[in-house]
Amino acid sequence: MSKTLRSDFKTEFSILRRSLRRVVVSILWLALAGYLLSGIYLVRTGDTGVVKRFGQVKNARVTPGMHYRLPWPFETVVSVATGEIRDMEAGFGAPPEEIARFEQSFGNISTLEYGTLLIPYCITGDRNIIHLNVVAQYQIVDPDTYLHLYTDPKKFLLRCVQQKILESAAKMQVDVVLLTGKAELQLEIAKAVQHILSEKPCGLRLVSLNVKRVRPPQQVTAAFKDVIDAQEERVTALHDAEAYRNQLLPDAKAQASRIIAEAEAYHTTRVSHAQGEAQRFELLLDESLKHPDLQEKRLYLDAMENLLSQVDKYVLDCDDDGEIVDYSLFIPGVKEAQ
Amino acid sequence: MKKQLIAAITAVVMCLAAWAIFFQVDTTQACIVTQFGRPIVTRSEPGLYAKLPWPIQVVTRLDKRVHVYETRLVEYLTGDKKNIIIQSFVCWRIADPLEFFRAIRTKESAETKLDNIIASLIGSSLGDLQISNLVSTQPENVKITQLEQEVSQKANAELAHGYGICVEHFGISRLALSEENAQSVYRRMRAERASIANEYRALGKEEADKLRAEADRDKSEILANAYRDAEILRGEGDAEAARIYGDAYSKAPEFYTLVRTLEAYRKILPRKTTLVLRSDSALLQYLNRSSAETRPIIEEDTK
Repeated sequence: MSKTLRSDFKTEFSILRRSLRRVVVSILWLALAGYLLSGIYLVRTGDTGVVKRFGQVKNARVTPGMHYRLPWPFETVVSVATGEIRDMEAGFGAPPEEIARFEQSFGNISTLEYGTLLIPYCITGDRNIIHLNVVAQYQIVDPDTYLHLYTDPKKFLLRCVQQKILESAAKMQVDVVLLTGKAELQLEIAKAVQHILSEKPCGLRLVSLNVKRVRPPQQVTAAFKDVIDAQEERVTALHDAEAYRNQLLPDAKAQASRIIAEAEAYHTTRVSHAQGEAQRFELLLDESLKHPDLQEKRLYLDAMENLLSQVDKYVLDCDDDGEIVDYSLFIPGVKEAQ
Repeated sequence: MKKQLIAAITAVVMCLAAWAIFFQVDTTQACIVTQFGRPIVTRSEPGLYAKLPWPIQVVTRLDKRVHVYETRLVEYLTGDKKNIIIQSFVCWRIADPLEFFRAIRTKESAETKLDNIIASLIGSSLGDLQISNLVSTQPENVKITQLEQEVSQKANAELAHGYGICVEHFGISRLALSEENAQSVYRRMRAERASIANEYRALGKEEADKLRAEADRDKSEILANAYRDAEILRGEGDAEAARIYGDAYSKAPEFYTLVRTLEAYRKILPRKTTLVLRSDSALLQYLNRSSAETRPIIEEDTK
């Protein structure tokens, strides 16, 4: 039966077989084409592609755009964001919010056992404990090295930053670190880290390093705050003293000019009086010179008239024999008593 | 038809054979080919290599990149018997894959060994140092870098044989004090701050007092100067007046004496004075001219 069927549909079978084969062949071709096309890849703007053939780096500087490589397993490609500048926080200490959250669940750090070790700190040259956090900005500059030299280049960079913060802080005084030396400190750390990276390249470049947070530990915060208060108090005391002076000196100057003015008035008065009196005397003298004796007498009599009209007086008719006169008689009251 | 089938099967078999025979070594890897567990060849350079298929030869891949390992916090004793807690990091890599493969095999066991070696090296190096060689205000005293180099060199010397690993970089990543020491440092810091604060307060008071004293002094100076100038002015006035009087009166001294004396009488003999006059005085010479013998007492009381 099958034989008859096959012979009956011989032509149909052959057509079917031929079309099936055509489908298979075209699928194979498509697969081959797809496989070959899978070598097309895209490098995005700001990225750099690294192409490896059989595990060996062929081109570590593929620029952004569309490129072709041999498909897997011959060549592989990895894109690295070389244009991007990334931030990394490093240092010793935890953000205050985190500490607060920690303390909410575990209690006050300063009373916990090994509480001082919970939050990292660094020790300054004068053996003070401080928390110091920095933000490092870095960039991938060498994709080949970045991908193939270190298992974790970022971790390496982070540890180097920690190492250099520690070393720099170990040489400085706490006041310098906290107040004046921030710029110097971050420059020193950045230079030291860059030095390590130039000797031990890991494909990363340190772009900048900034001190983000420097503060004394919680256990001594109050004491540090008191110093700031004391500084404020000092400034206030100085201002008060200045205000005192600014009030005192103008008063003194006013008083001084009053004294001078009074003296000037005295001077003027004296001179004017003298001038007036001198003038009067001279005028009188001029007149007197015309009849000297007469004028003298007139003046004398004027004066006596003026004088004697106002005082008590007794006229004593005296002998020329020098009899002693009892003057007590003339004193009012003595006469009545006798 | 049959031919095509054979071709397809051949292709698949060849692919499988290629997969079994060839292996790639990545640039980050070192491969060791072992035959029945015995290392035959080491392939450290990247590329495509061939081997006998499994189970005769097996490839073991090792990561030859630099690993960054951070040690535990360990408490050490410095040369001057001070406790210090140190955490460090070691960057290590496989230097000799074969030796590593024989002696250590895994990253974890390598790091355990490193941890021990580093800890004992830090301990012995710290014995020669004092705490002031770790932290000091004199930068030339701080020998952290030297310590790191020493440990790194000694570690490499120790690791040179039998481990197959080498240290690329060693650094101290954290210094800490023991709980007790930290508490005493906190106490000292508080005391230091208190003394600084007191100093500022004292300084403020001193400066303010000085400023006030200066102000008071300035005030006295201003007033004293004013008094001096005023006295000079008065003196000048007096002198000027004296000169004017002198100029005027010297023209007729006798007349001046007369005028001035008469004027003075008015002042030196106030109203309540009682004068006893001789009747033969010049003023009264006309009074008793007619009755010179009778000598009456004339009494006039104007009171």
